[in-house]
Amino acid sequence: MLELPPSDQRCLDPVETMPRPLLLALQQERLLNMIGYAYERSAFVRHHWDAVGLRPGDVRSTADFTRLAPLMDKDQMRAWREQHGDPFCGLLCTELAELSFIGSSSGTTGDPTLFGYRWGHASGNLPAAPGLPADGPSSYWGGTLRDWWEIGLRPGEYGVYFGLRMRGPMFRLLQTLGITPIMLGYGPDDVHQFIDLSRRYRPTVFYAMTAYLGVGLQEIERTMGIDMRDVFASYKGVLFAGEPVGPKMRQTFERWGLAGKIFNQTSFGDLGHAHDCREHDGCHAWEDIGVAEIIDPDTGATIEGTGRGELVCTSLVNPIDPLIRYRGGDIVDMRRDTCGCGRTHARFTPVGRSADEALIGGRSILPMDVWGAIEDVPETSNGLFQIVRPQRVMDVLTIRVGYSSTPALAALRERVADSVQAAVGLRPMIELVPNELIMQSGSRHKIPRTVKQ
Amino acid sequence: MSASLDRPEAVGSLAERWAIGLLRLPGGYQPYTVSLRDIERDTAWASKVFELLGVRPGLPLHLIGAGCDNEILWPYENALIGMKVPFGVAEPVAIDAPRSDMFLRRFRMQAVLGLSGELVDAFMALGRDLQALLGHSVIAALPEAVPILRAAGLAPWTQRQIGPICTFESPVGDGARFDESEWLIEAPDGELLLSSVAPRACPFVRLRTGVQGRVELHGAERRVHVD
Repeated sequence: MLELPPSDQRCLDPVETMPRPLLLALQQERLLNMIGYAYERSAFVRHHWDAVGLRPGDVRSTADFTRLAPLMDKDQMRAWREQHGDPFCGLLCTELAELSFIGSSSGTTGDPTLFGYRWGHASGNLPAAPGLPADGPSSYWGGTLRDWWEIGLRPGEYGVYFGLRMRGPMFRLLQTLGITPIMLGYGPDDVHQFIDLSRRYRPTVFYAMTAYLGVGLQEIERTMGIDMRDVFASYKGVLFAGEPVGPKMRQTFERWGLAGKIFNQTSFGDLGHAHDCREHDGCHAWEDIGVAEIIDPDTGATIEGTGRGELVCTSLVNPIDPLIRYRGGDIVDMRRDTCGCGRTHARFTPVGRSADEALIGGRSILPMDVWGAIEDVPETSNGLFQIVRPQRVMDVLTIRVGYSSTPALAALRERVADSVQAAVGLRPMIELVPNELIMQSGSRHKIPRTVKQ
Repeated sequence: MSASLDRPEAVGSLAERWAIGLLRLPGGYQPYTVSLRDIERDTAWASKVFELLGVRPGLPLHLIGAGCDNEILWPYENALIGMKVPFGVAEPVAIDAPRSDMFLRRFRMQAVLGLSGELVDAFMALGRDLQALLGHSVIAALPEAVPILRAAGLAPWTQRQIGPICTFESPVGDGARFDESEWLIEAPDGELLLSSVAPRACPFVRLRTGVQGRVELHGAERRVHVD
């Protein structure tokens, strides 16, 4: 059972501000336990460690681990799945019957991969805490509980939950913090219901905001004259998940009184989630839950300490399907100094995904580089776009851009191209399509920002 | 402060207001509160449904449902957790069809609940053989999917949402079962009216469901027949 601290306490768990030497010692102890556990039980991990002649006993420290252990990625996992007919890609360390819930990835880049969850309590009335005592703070979900406590969510409040189910019933985390979830969905009328329910219950958190919902709210404001400052008056946090908020949409939410209250939920290398704190100076990578490294995305070489690189993560508390040195393709800026909030764990700022990077005439372009320029044009201000990327190296930057209303398309095409050129110094080819076509191209919480054709 | 959800003093009054749901009725939307007691009672009913469907521990099951209906779905998930049945989840809309397709191709699901017409159409558009995909599973399908599945030679149960509850009718069409310990369904004028008969957080009195049908006795049990 999770004991909540006094409401005026900023941190949920003392481990959040643990002196860094002690934190790294705790991390190493858990890591050495985990690699022995995973090697013994995970066919995938054992195969890849055997392939390089490595045994858990060869690893005596975190430094040994980052120097010696092989990296793993989703392509390898999918290859294992196809070769062995194992839906869990050789990662499952328990019997299938021991799982309670099978979640899955978004499937943006292929057949979704699986996440196994076990719910801690026999009645199912408490969230899982795989790896450590049930519902303890150092758990798969424990990091998210810390992050949401930091936002200021407290018992007795209400929280709007626009949730998909594929990553598990995360509304249970709101309940763990004593918050009553208000269940809403992605139907066209649910956004209108959100307005009414926010005024009625005065919730303190919105989980999870997306470009899709943001566009709907902007449209309601424009057509119905709703005072969004009033709608959001009670909110302590609006959490964007799946993809970050675009620059223009951020300005819109700030105009609605949410400056400083927009939080980014990103993947902690598929170990769990990471959020920024109220300092908004990077997402906290809880290092008692995972090992967070960065590598050179081209060579795979470890980048020590801070800097920009591809995020590589290792589970420390997941006994079901732990990922060991998993590279998920997220390019991040990593920092390891103490955050302004006092937390001592590493934190990172997502920059983009390596799979989204396009090289045009030797120049690197990521979706975030063109996002604001597209939002700056009124007819495309919803920021619904996709870079057409059949391969990484291309001669021309082609962007498919969604538009609203009924503009003069030829003139709009030129204005969008002008705006992007001003931002990145390259003249793009712009394909205009109605907003709806872009929104239909992915799941409702995540638009694929690059497409092959 | 304790965060236990299974004690009356649950933090933040969660015992009394475990969640706020949104009923989508023909006449409009209606927010309603569910309590922990409601969830526990609905979990007990869900366990009976799974027993009726012949669900067994240890074998995987595919549970399809929308995230906006979590207060309705969680008792079914909770029951499966209690029964030690691992379950994969997906949404009932076409855009999420690749996920259900993945689960059905990669697992031999003992049962599939909440199968919608949109998903069945999407499977067919993907060129799937419905028999190969679903033939080994007990199926509980939403009403619009039932005729297509029957045409494919399958024998689905009909899973129908009536207000905030799910009813289940066997493949032989002998009327849909519902939790009589919590609910009364009447049809005085041909429309099913739903009332709560237990101390639920949000009492319903003759809620107009927009579903046309009748209620008949099957032995001592009331069952719903939808027109």
